[in-house]
Amino acid sequence: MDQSAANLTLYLDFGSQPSRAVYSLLAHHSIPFTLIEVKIINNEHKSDYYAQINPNKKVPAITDVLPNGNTFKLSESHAIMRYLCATREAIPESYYPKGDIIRRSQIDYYLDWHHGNIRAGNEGYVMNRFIKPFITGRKTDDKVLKESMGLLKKSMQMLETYWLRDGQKYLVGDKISIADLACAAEVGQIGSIEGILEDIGGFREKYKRVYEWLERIETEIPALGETNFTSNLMLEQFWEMLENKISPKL
Amino acid sequence: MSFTHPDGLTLYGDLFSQPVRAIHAFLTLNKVPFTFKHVDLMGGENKSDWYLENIHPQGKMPAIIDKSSKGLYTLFESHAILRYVTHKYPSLVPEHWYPTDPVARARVDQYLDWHHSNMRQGCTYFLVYKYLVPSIMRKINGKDYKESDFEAYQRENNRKLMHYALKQIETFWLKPNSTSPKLSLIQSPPHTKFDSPYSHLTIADLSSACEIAQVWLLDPEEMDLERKYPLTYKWVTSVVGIKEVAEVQEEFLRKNKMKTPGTIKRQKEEQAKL
Repeated sequence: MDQSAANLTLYLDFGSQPSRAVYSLLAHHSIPFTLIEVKIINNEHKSDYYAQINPNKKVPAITDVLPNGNTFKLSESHAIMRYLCATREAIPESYYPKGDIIRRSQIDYYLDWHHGNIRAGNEGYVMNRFIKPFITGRKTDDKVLKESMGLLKKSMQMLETYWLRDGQKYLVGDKISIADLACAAEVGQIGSIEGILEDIGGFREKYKRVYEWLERIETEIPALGETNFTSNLMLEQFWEMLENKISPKL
Repeated sequence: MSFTHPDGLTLYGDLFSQPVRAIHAFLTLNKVPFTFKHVDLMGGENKSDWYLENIHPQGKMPAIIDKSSKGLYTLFESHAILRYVTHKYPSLVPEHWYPTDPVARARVDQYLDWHHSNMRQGCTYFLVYKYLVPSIMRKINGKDYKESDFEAYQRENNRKLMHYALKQIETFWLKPNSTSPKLSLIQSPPHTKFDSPYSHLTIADLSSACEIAQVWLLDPEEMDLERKYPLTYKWVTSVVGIKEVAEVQEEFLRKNKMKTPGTIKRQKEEQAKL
C-alpha cells in the first residue's frame, strides 16, 4: 500500500554519503517526499530542532506519517532504505527482495561489512587527512593516517577481488540493490579528490572492476551520479582551501 | 585432505567473539538444529589453508554454512546471520525477535546499524588496544614494551566512544519502551502479547548485550556499569542471564587466557572458594 506525498520527509545534507544513497533511492523511483536540508557546516544537525527528529544528531533521517496518523521517525541510512523498500511499491524487488532470502541475506552481509570497511575507511581517511587538520590546525599523526588509508585500500581491494569477482555487474548478483547505492555514494568520492587519489595511488588502474562498476551505477542512477558530482566539486574546493591553510605550517 | 561440511546448518566461530556467542545462543534457545565448529581466533585458525579454501578467502568470521540438497550456502556478518535464521525457521523462531511489521522491523534495523560504528567499535577496540595489543607486544619486546602514542590514542578514543554508546543506551535506546515492564532496546509493536519470558526482546538486544557484557566481564571497573548506567546494567544482566547466553559466556570465561582485571578478580574468587 503506497503512502502519499505529504507523508514522507527526508532530512539530509548532500555532503553526507549515506544521505545521497537514500536520496537517490527515492528520487530515481519518483517517490514523492519533502526534502529538508540540515547543513552540517552550519551545525544544524546539533540544533534542538533537529534533536527532535533524530536524537543521535546524524543525517540522514526520515519522518513518515503512518495510516494511523502517528509520525514514525527513523535514522540510519541502511534501515531507512530497507524500510522504504518494504513500504514503497515503486521500488523494484531487486533492491531488497521480500521473498528471496538468499539474495536478501547477501545484501544484509554487504550492508554490515560496509560500516567497518568502506564507510570507516573513506570517512575516517577524509576526517583524519582533511577535516581534523583544518579545524585544529595540526596535521594528523602519520600512524593514524597510515591506518586509515590502510583500511580504505583493504576495503577497495575487497570490492575488487571479492564483491565484484567473476566480473559481475553489481555488488550482489546480476541486479542492482541498495548495497550498490550505499557503496557508490562513498566510492564516488575517491576518484575525484586529487588528495585522496594521490594517497591511494590511483583508482582506475588499481581497481579496474570497481571503476567500471562505479561508472555503471552513476550512469544508471543519475540522481546518485549528479549528487556525487556536485558534492565532489565542493569537496575539491574545500580540499584546496585546506591545502592552502595548513601547508605553510607543516 | 578433502573437507566435508556437515549437513544442515553449521556455525564456524570462536566463543571468544561476542557476535558468535549471540548467534550460538539464538540458535540454541530457539531449538534450531545446528553444528558448532570451533575455529581458534587467537591462534589464527581463520587464516589457515583449510579455512581460506573452504570458508572465506580472506579468513572472515564468523560464518554459517547451510548445506542442503540444493547445495551449500555461505553467509557472514552476525546481524545478517541472525536475520537469515529468523527467515529460514519461522516455525521455530517467534516473531518478536525480528518483527514482520515494517515499522517495528525498521526500529530493530536502526539499532543493528548504529551498533557497528558505536557500541561494537568502542567496546571491541577499547579491549584490543588496552589488553590485546600490549599482551602481544610484551611477548615480542618483553619488559622493554611501552605503550606507544598511537596505541594510547586509539585506546582513549575507543574508550570514549564506548562510554558515549553506553550513555546512548541509557538515555535514548532504553527509554521509549513503555509497553512492557521489561527493559529492551526496541519499542515492542502494539499487538505484542507478552506471553513468553523473551517476548519483549529482539535480536538487537542479544547482539548489544553480548557486546557490552564482554567489557563488563573483562574490565568491570572501567565500565562501572551498575553505578554509571543503572538501567543498562539491569537490562544487560537480564539478557545475559538467559540460560543459553549464560552458558556460552561461561565457556568463554573458562577458556579465556587474556589477563584483565575482571578475569584476575574472578580467578581469585574461585581460588578463595577452594
